[in-house]
Amino acid sequence: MEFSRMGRAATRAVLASCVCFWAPVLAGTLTAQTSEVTVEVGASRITPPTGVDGGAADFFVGGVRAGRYDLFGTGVRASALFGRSLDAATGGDFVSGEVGAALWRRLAGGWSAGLDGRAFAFRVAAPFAYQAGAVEGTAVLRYRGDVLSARLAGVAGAGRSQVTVSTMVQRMRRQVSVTGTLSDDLWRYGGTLELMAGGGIVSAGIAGGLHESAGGTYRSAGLRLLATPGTGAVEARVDRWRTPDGYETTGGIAFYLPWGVWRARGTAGRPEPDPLLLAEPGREAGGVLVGLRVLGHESGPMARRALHSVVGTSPEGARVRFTVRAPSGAASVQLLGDFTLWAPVSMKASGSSGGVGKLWTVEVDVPAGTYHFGFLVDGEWYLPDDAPDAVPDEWGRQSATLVVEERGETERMDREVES
Amino acid sequence: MRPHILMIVLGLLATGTAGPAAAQETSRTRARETLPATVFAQVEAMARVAEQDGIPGDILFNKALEGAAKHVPADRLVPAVQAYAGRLQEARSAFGSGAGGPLLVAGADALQRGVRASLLKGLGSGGERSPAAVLVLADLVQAGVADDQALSLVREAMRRRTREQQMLDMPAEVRRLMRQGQSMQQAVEQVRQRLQSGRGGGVMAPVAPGSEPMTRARSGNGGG
Repeated sequence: MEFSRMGRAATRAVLASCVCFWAPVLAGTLTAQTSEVTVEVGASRITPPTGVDGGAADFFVGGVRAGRYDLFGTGVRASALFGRSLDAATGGDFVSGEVGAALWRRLAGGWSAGLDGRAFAFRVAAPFAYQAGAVEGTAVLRYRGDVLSARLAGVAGAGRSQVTVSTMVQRMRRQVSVTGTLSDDLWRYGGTLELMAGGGIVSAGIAGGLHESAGGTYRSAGLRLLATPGTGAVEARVDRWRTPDGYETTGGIAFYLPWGVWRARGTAGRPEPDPLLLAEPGREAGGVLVGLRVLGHESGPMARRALHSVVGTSPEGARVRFTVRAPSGAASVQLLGDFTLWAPVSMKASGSSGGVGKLWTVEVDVPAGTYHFGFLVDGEWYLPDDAPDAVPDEWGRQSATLVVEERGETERMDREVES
Repeated sequence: MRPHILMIVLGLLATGTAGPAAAQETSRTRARETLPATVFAQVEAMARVAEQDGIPGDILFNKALEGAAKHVPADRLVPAVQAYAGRLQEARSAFGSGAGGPLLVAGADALQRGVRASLLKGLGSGGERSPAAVLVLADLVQAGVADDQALSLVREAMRRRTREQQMLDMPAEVRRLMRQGQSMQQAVEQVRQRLQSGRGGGVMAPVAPGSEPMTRARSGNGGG
């Protein structure tokens, strides 16, 4: 047992260095339809927990993060993070990974419900060999009103950790090295409640939690201040924890800020204890990761690409210009839809744009009506991921939608507006 | 084909433009030429039943042609057309017997996107409802706007006879405001206020480079 406590105490600090990024801050990424792979690099630092000797551990951190979400957070994610210790005496190289999925559904009157599942693993080599893995599930009930919002979450998880500790002991008249390997079953269940008030970008509130775990009972209560500029988020929080080892005050600031293809996220302050992994808070911790989106796109409304535009009238309806950016290397692009009786119409390339594929255009007279359409790129069905007004077809693909109003109707509305 | 007609066709292809194919050919005749005979016969039977219920049969031929254009195996065409016919029937029940083909297509799409039939019914039976309104309703619901608020916003736009392009831009505007941190209710309310002030809902929505909405270009009166 003593070996286990020693191992935990020395390695919890390292553990915390890569898991202390508060999950709520990442909520900023869930406010847009996102599909991306991001490569991140940065640095982090953490001091050991209270009562544990030793200096701060510094790390170079790098990793890759991938996720695909819809507007409300339903989606899948995976990440891997590697840490290179700058001083073997205070910390060891670590690696961690996580896969997860979330499912959100809207309920009536501003309420929504979500399920989140994740599996993660962590391994560090020094100063003690420590590895842990766990699975965790969270059920969330969320309310978002004009002024008030609430989030009630129930969480349950289980896992296993293993620590290998070597120490020198006195045997007869000699110092001998003794190595012990100890495994711990990890589990926890509990819940958190968060109540926030505020309009627009800034909100403030209170939060509390209660968790039973293999290490004992954890209680927490605290304050929150959250700012969500655009798709980013900045959060300041302070919590008072009652843990099996005593009282702890934790808190600090965390942020997630996207800028085009760049992302920055980080945290600074005193990290929180982890009831599942039994990580004790370090006295101080902080880190910054800068990410570059290398694949994917954000298909929120700011990134919508209109596939068609009405450029004039025709005797039967409208003259419509169709424009699509085909994947790079496309040799031929054709338009087809209800209005062509699904016969392909060749499109013309109009120059390239930075190796991301040429723009292809064609103009077609379309009678009034509601139509499905799409494109053939080198003979294969194609519709951009961010196509607006896409409708799933009966075969698992998507088609775009075009509405051309009756000419008389448009002219009548014009007259009304002008008058 | 006479030589001068051939020249016109070649000229159209060379300039990257095309006339309305429907003017020369109907979806029924193209389906007969394109689809396997057994598939065409089954789709034709479904189209006849649909026409008896006031649903244009061409819509079903179009769906079969769509599948063929997407290289869907023949044995999966008929079940898909059957399912589509079912949604068209459901849309017709919601809209009433006066609904035309474009409205029914938009309604069937909305059902496919998760809109409840009762919500379509909520658009009323008047002439102001349009395929664009149905499309916007579906887009708002898919964006996470509560059913009653989405319906209320679309009805407000219909009541104010909002132009099609402005109406189609509303969901993008709601999404944009939600991304900026506003709650769904706040975003909807802001778009509603813009409608009420006559500024439309889509002042921030992007359009393709070099393009102008038809109504804006013709009247010289910007949508914003």
